[in-house]
Amino acid sequence: MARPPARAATMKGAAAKGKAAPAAGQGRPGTPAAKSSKNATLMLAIVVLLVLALFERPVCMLLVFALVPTMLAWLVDNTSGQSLIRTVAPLNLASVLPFAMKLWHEHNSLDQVFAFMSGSTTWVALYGAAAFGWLLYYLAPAVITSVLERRIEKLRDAATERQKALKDEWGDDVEK
Amino acid sequence: MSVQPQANPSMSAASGAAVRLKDRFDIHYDKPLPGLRSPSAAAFVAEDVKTPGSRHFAMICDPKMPPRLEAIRKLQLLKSYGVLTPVEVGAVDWAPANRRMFAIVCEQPLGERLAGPTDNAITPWGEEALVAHIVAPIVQTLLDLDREILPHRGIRPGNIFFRDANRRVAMLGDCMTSPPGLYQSVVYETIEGALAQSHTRGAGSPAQDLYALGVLVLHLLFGKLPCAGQTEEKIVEEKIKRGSFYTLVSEQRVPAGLSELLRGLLVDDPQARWRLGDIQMWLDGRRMTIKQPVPAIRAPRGFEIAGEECETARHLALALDMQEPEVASRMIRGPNFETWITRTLGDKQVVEAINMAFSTRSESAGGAAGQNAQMVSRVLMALDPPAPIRFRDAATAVDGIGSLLAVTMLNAGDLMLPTEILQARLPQFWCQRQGSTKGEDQATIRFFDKMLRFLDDKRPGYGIERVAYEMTPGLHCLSPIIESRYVEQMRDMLPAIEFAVQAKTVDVSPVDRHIAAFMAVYENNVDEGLLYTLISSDPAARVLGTLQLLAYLQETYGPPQVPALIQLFGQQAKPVIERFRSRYTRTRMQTGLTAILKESSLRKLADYLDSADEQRKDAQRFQRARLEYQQTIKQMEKAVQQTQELNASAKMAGHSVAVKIASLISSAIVGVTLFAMGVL
Repeated sequence: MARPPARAATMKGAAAKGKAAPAAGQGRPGTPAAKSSKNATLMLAIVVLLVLALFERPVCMLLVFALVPTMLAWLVDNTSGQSLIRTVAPLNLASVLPFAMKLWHEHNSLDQVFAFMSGSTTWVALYGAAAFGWLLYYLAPAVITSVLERRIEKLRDAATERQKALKDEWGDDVEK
Repeated sequence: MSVQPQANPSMSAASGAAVRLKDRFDIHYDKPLPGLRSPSAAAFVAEDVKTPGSRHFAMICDPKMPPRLEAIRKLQLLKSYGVLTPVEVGAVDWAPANRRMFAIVCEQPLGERLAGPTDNAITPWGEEALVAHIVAPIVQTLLDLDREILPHRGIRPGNIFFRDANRRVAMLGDCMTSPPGLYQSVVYETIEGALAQSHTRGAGSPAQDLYALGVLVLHLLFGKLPCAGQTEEKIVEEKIKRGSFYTLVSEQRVPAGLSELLRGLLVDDPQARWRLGDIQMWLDGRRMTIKQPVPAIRAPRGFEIAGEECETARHLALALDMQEPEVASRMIRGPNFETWITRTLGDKQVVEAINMAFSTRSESAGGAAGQNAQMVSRVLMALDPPAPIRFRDAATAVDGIGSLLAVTMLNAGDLMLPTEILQARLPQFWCQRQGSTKGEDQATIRFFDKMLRFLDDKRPGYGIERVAYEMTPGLHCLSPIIESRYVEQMRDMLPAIEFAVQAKTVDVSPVDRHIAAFMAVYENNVDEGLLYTLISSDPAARVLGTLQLLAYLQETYGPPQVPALIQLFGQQAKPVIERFRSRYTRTRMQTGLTAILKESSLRKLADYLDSADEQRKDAQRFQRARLEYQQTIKQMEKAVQQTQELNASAKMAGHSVAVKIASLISSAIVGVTLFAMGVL
């Protein structure tokens, strides 16, 4: 099992509160642990799809069409702990669920699958959720950076002010 | 009259041209009494305000001469009618001199002076009257003085009064206003006294009074001063060569009735000289035997110096002393000297002493010349042990070194001479040469060793000033700041300093080396650490040390108000306040100072400025402030580091947040879907 990265382990404060440190078992990008984890996910997905292709072909077909954003995420995700996949996949899967339920409960056929696919609402629902995941993935760090920057600035200003006050009362000797 | 009462609280103002001494005597400086004056003290009428009509007079001492404080104290205790006795003493504001001067109030003698102070020719006295009216009363007085171990050292016609108007009972005059024997002519002095400088003859012993009594008898008997017309040097030389009796009597015929007395009193050896008991017995009519003094060893062949043949060691010492130290040194180191001493004179004691003189070495500021002078001085002591210490231009009795130092200081003379005498340990060598079996010499050696330690210590409270005050008890404080205020006791010190500050005589430090030394001698409770601060390189420590010293004086002796000093310290408080590191504390101290200054208490001011609690708090707070400052530096470093790591960490945190939000929303979608489908 890989040890948590040293740099991440020393992170404190705002960054640490964001729980940026990867969980145990989640390797750094490019590391053998990260690659094996990613491969394991792929294998699991292929197995699930194969099983579904044998017993639930319409659902399998639906998933193949619907999970394209997740697959793309798998391809481009090079982050530690596969954050992109973990952001996009849940939303993508959750957006598939209503259609899959409808297949099971109503017409569990490939026609129905194609009927869903022919409607633009389906694509908006499926890919909109995934797009939201992508958006979330890219916006969240920017928001967090802004918040942390403001917090650090406030701390630095407070320290500067205190230094000024101390020098004002005690003179330059206080620096020694 | 102007007496400046603000600086002189112990004295109240008198009316008219007079000054009051200790609320009892009004001294009228417009009523001089020339008949009662001493050479070093003018006499004025003194009125006892408590007993009007009493006949007192005050002697106003010359401030350039230290009075004999020990004699004053002993005479006050003794209360003898046979000697001028002080009734009251103390410093007074003396308007004619525009300074304070030491006054000694005595009862006026009823009779006149035996002779004018400068009269050498006197109407001759008959043998019987001389013994009855002069010798007998003086011997009785000397017996009184002997009980207090107080030599008078001023027995001469010009210093003898009569207790009665009929001139029947003689009494001794002033012996308090100047160093012992100062105004005695060399005729009245023993050989040892005559060899010394007049102001350094020392108190000596009662034997010197008896010698002077013998000379007085001769003087009054023949009506003229013995050896009149001869130079002092000649008289001394004659005394050494022929002995005092033959020198002073010369060709004159001494009455048989007095011959015994004169032979007994004018013996040069103090051990063989008559004592008071012997004179008493002689006065009672007993026939006394004259102790024959051991004659000095005479060499069969004289040692020639400048045409003078010296046959005795004492004569040789005198002749060498007449030479320049370099010349004398060459003679002493020459082969003739050694041969003459060891073979011709053959006095083993002198040979041993000279060997000791050669083997004793001391450092000298004067280099080789100084060491030569020291060697000459030691050889002179080896040749003539009872003679005074003769060093360069000084010739001083061992108990006259204090006077030498005091008079030199009082007259702004060169202090190198007394300093070198002490540093060369000449007094110790002199004591070793006396061969006394009593412990007195050892005590004197220890005393001078102590003085040498004081002299070598350059800190305030020590040095030559300390030695001067230790060795001369009556010496007033000679600080240029307060010298004119004649401070001879600690209670007068602070008023004098206050006066000096008021008069703007001092505008920096009101405590100098003289004041520090005076305090160190007369005030045992003074913390020496405070004295050392006077030379501190830290101006704040100097101000606080001075302030603490003066606060101690104010607490102990008063006066309660010293406005000028308070203002002076107020002006000097800046470096003290600057010691506090906190600007707020400094501002607070400066603001509070105004209120403290209004109270005019040096103690409160000292406690305020030198508050240990305040300093401790300031130091503690400063330490805390430094720590806090260091923390802020670390805080800023950490902020910089966080800024540098911000992108990476924010990305990680953002992704983590994104994952969580996605999970939440997904869960919500799943939940809603399942609920809508009726699964839940």
